[in-house]
Amino acid sequence: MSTCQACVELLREYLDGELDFGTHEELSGHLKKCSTCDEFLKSYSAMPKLCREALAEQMPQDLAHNLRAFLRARAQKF
Amino acid sequence: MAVVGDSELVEQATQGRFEAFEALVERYQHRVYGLAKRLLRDEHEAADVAQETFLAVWQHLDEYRPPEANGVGTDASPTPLQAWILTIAANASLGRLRKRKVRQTHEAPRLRAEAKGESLVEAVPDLAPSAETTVLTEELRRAIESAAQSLSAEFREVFLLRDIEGFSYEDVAQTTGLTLANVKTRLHRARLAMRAALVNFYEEKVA
Repeated sequence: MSTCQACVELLREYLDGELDFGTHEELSGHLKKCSTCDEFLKSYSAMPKLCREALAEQMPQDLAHNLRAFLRARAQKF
Repeated sequence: MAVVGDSELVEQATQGRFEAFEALVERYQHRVYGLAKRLLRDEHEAADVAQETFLAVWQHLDEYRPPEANGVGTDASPTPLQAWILTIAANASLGRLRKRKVRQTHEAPRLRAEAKGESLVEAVPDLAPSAETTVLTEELRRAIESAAQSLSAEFREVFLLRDIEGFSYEDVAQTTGLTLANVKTRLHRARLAMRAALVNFYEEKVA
């Protein structure tokens, strides 16, 4: 892998296993040697889980109650 | 107490047992509401989408054909039923978004996801001492919310559907009408933008 820039551009494909064997090996080699890119990979791959936790929403009780009442009323029509 | 699987509840619901359907609603209402609220950024519209979604589920449940539906799923990998329900909710939400046609000129400056050239390398500094074990503080949660809201719509939709809702790439492409390649490119750009925003968050804390 010639540059850190090229490495970062390929991270998604690397994590999804979409790279050809040669490129995958080259990138793996770069990550072993470059701690900066290795740390970048760790934070990049940790992002979805962290964001899922951060963006989790609970439906407020009153809205959930309204939803249930709405569905009961509509279901009776079928 | 054993958890009743989706397929059993679907079977009972299609036989007219409304309580079984209500159990499904209770199981997935938060995911549906959350998806709609994240996409629409409006709790009232999100509640409307939840109503539309579950009404459609009730009306079409007998048409649902699960590949292997008997689990309760996880946040990262939805069960087939969950994926089906979330797809209905995503379509309803995106349909509303398309209708809004809101001019975004008055909104906060968008995060630039085109993290190319030198800016990419500048973003290389680590996100946290160990991002894999980052503790989600309230401050960090707000920073992530803010970063996600600041993504431009084209990136946010893909990021939310794939990374937050756990849609497959194919399902994201089908729901958004984008090509598979476009979905993957946008996702990568969105992740880089999110990461850069969080790097800024940590840098501001240190400064």
